[in-house]
Amino acid sequence: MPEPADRDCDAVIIGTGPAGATAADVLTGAGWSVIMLEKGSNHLLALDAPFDPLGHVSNDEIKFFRRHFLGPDPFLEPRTYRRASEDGDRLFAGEVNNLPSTVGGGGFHADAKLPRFRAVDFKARSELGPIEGADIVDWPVDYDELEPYYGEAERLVGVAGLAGANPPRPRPASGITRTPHLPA
Amino acid sequence: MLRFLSEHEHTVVAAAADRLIPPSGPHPGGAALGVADYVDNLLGAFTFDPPLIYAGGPFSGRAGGEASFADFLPLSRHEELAWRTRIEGSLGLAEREFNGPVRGWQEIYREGLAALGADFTEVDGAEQDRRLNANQPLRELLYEHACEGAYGPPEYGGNRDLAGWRAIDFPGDVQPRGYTDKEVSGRA
Repeated sequence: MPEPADRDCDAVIIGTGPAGATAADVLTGAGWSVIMLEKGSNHLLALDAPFDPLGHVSNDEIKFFRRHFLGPDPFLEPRTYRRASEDGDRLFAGEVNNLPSTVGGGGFHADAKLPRFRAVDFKARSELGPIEGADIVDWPVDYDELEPYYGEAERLVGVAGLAGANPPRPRPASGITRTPHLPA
Repeated sequence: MLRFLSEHEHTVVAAAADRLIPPSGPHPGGAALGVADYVDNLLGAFTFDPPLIYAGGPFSGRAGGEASFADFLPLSRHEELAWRTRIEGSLGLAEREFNGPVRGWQEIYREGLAALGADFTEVDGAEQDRRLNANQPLRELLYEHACEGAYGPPEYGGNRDLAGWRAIDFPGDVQPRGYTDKEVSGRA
């Protein structure tokens, strides 16, 4: 592939949430130059050294709960909802459990809880189905194939918890066994 | 100095706020809590620079730290579009009418307060309630704003002397001190 001499970076990542941030961490760790694009405002750290906290976060119910400081503002970016075509274009437009749309994305205000699929979830059709009228299919991968990636993603995002604390779930073979809670 | 409401409108908002959040025992109602000042700050938010939309942080100074709530944050272009449209209405501007025309809060207040009647502050409570109930767009908006003004951080103009928080036994923002054992468990 021809390589333009004026190329700014090796990869562009759109969105700075947990998915984009972990991808950037992996790519930059491998020596790639990465540019990240984010539509929301930055409320975390100053973009220049020494990267001080901006101090925008505060215990202010008007700002956060009434005025959508972390966005998305449901007035400009309403979620819409309808159950069936009889509902027309939309039954509802507004705020539906919106996740932050800032630098950091949904991870800005998150409890680092990333439940894994259970092994059976990958085999829904062959083990639980088929169900007439529903398009249930098995995943093209199974739990064991994905398990190491679950572990890696949990490490990068900082998922906390105790292995085996949720008995119906498969015990992680990789990933975090216990992460101390970070100081607030 | 009032930023949007006239003196008369300000007294009408205060009287209406007292019907929605009445005084109760030792606790002041919406009028004495400063709801009318809160509403005026909101409707006139863009007469300030930065606009009075998002208070600063991280601390108010009420529980230690440097007081910074009063240093309001600059808005992004996106945020300014949302808040100007809410407050001023879409005014026929294409960039504000992406989802149809929007009636602004300024207009809802201006027309709604006039419709309450020039003698609103002189009639009895039952009549004030009747007029408010006959004017739902204003009543619904004012109720939301009255709750925000009565029980929100005082940097937005209401919750005078923190009496709103005392009325509901809420300690308010407590960072960086954090909650005491008593505040968490009820025991010292």
